[in-house]
Amino acid sequence: MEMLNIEHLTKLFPLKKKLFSRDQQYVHAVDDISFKIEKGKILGLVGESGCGKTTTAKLLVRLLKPTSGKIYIGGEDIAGLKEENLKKFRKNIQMIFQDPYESLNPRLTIHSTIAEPLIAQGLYNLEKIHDALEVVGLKPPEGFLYRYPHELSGGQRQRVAIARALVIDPIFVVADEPTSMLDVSIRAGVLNLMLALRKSFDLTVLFVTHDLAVARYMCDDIAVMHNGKIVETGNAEEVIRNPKHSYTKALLSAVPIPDPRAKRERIRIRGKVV
Amino acid sequence: MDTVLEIKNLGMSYDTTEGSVSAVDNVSFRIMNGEAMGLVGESGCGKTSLGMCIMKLLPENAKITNGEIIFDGEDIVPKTEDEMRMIRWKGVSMIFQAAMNALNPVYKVGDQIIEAIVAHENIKKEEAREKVRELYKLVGLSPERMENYPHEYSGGMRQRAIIAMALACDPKFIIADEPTTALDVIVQDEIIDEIKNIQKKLNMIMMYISHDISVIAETCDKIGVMYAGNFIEYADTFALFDNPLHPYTKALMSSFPSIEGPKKELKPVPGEPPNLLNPPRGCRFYPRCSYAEEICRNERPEFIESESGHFLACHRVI
Amino acid sequence: MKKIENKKASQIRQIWALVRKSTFIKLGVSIMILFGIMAVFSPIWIHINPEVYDPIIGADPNVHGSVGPSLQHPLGTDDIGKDLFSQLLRGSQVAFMLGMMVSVFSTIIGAAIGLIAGYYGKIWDTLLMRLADIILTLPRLPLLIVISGIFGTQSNWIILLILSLTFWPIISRVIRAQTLSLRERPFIESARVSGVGNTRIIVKHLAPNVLPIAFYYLTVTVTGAILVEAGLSFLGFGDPSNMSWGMMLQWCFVKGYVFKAPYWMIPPGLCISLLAFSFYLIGVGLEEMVNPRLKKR
Repeated sequence: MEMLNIEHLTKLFPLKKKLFSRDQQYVHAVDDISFKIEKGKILGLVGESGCGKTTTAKLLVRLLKPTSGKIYIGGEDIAGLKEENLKKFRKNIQMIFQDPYESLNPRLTIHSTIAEPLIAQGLYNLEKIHDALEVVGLKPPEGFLYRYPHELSGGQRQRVAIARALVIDPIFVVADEPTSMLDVSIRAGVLNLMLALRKSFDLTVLFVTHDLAVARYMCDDIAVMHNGKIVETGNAEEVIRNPKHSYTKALLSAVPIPDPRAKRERIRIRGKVV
Repeated sequence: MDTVLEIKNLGMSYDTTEGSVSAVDNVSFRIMNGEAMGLVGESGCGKTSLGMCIMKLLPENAKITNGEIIFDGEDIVPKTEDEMRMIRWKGVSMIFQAAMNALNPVYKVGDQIIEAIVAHENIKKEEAREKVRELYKLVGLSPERMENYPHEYSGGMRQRAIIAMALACDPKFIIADEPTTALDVIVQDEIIDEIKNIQKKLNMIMMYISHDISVIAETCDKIGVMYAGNFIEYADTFALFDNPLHPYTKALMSSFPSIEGPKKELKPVPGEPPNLLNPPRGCRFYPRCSYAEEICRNERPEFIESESGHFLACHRVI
Repeated sequence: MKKIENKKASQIRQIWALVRKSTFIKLGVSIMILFGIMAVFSPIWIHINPEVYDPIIGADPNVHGSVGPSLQHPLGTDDIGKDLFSQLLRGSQVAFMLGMMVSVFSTIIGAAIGLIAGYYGKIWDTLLMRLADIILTLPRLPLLIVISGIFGTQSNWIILLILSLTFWPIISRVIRAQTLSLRERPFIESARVSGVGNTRIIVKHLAPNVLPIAFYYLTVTVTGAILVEAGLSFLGFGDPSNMSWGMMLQWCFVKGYVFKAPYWMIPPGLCISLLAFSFYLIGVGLEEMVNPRLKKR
């Protein structure tokens, strides 16, 4: 059964009009993409910066309004919903942001931050906040409740962000490069935590990343995005071992390997004039 | 082979309102002629501070507390700012992290590099222009691009221009501080190749600073691993990857996912890096180390050669 | 809950530690306290002295023409025997009240409008900011003069109203710019994803983050309000039922004592400059604290 079904999703951003120019020009940030995620699976959306992967993530949680296309979550299309009608659906879908230094309000305590989605849904319960903190490995929860983000380390902050996303039991989570700002020795811990939580909460996840190695580690399937379009999708291991599209091949050959003996054929896209 | 750079017991600290932070502590290593040395470590481990020590480009509240930096046979620690100005550029040059900020947006890129050369070398503007043309070709930029402004360059091109600028006065030693962090994978790959080729071609020595051990693996002959201001392991790249000795190095390697080989479970390093205002008394990695013993808590391990060419600071392994 | 209170207390202590470090703020606050004492002392001075010392209705019948400082009249009297020291004290009261109230009102209005325009954007932004533009281009003094003509007489309440309504655009522009950049910050986006409503986002997430800047502009507005009131009074559009520093200057000028009675002319002039300066100093100090780029390490 698919949890998420995207059909012909498109987002255009209008460009500033030139003086006296009549026709409006657009940037095709997301250009007619379609994909599905089955319940309990993690799909990795991989691409370089500016390829439209973050725009896609924001469309799915409806921080942005799609220009056209459909977003079915659990069978319901949310693409056209108005702001007022979104509140109910916000309970089902949450997002984890890239930069834990930026995604937590510096003036709110950890307690207030995690309480926010609960208060918005009218479900406030201190017990739940305790549980959420424990689940993400911030123990004992009492020790964290009344601290401020700046008193925590990067890894702890990202755990708080994960706790906030999970505290209202969403069914679908969008994670936008959740570990790219973290130090390597911390990163593995957060990745493992997300894998464990996926299992225990039976979450469906869209994992946005630029790092193919991380995508391979985290995801069941991979979709490669380039210039607003999805150029290749498939089983993660399959895409990494046997890429079909030339862009995927170029991307793979550019990934540095933590092994000095790995001599690989390198394919370059020399499209841009250098 | 000759030693070009030798660092002996270098220590550096920052004075902050909360006390003194020892960002670099007791660091010793040497780089031989023609070698590229990779410096790997997490953010805040002191790798950039170490680079700044060698350039002697320290902020006001930082000072070198002890040790020697012997470059080309001379200790540069006691040198004055005026003497350093000559050594920088001609001797040691640096490729900075933020390519965006290093270029002035209101001048043509070519002119900025020409200015830099004329300021440091006693040559005419036309000669300098010719030299910049050569440099552009060397770093893989078309010389016509000299007439463009920084905003007309892509991120990768800007980084190439920064490399050209760093090479402008034929330095013997180049420090590259995370030169590709802000770039996309494909561009990063190109720039890394470029830097590696140029370094070999011009026979410079290089110190490549990065948090990404896989980038270091592709570029460098030697690797130094830093943790909390200490050098904990230093060895030939192959030796280090084949036989990492320090528990932190091992942990670092098993916490990186790879696109090659079988899919392995990542093992995170428990805990967090120490606060350098009040570092652990013994080994600074001790609180996070799964092999730690009583001695690790109380005694600072010496940084010594445990195998030929393989330096290490750990009580347990020896 | 106790923990939260402790946090709040420690935050206040931190702010206090910062304030104590800033020479600008220390100097500004000292001058301000001096005038505060004068303002508080004003009714006491009138109460303990006979009616001749009342700054508005009293006049010393034994004095003929303006005289210089004496034991009876510490700063001398004006041409009809009114005590200048009483007037100066009353003036500090007026300047204080007016300056403070104008700045508080206009900061509240300006912050609210800036937040709404910045957060909702689109048509709200256009409407409110064009309104701000219009008000900014209106000449303040002639407007006040016209309005005093309409009302027949001028009172401090009208001055207060007009100043509050004309000072907010400056603040709202700054707050709006700040809100625009905050709105795109991930912590606002993550609050929206959490299902937090617009009102709560403005009150809980945006307002606390723009308040330090609003506070800085508050001090700038006080300076402006004090100077405008003084200017109005000097031109003869002050509240005739009251006394202010500007009015003292005006009488001195009208009666032709500018060069003859420095004891009449200098104190109010000095007070206006000093009080405006004290708020300016506090503003500079606050800006140093708020704007990290100006912070000295």
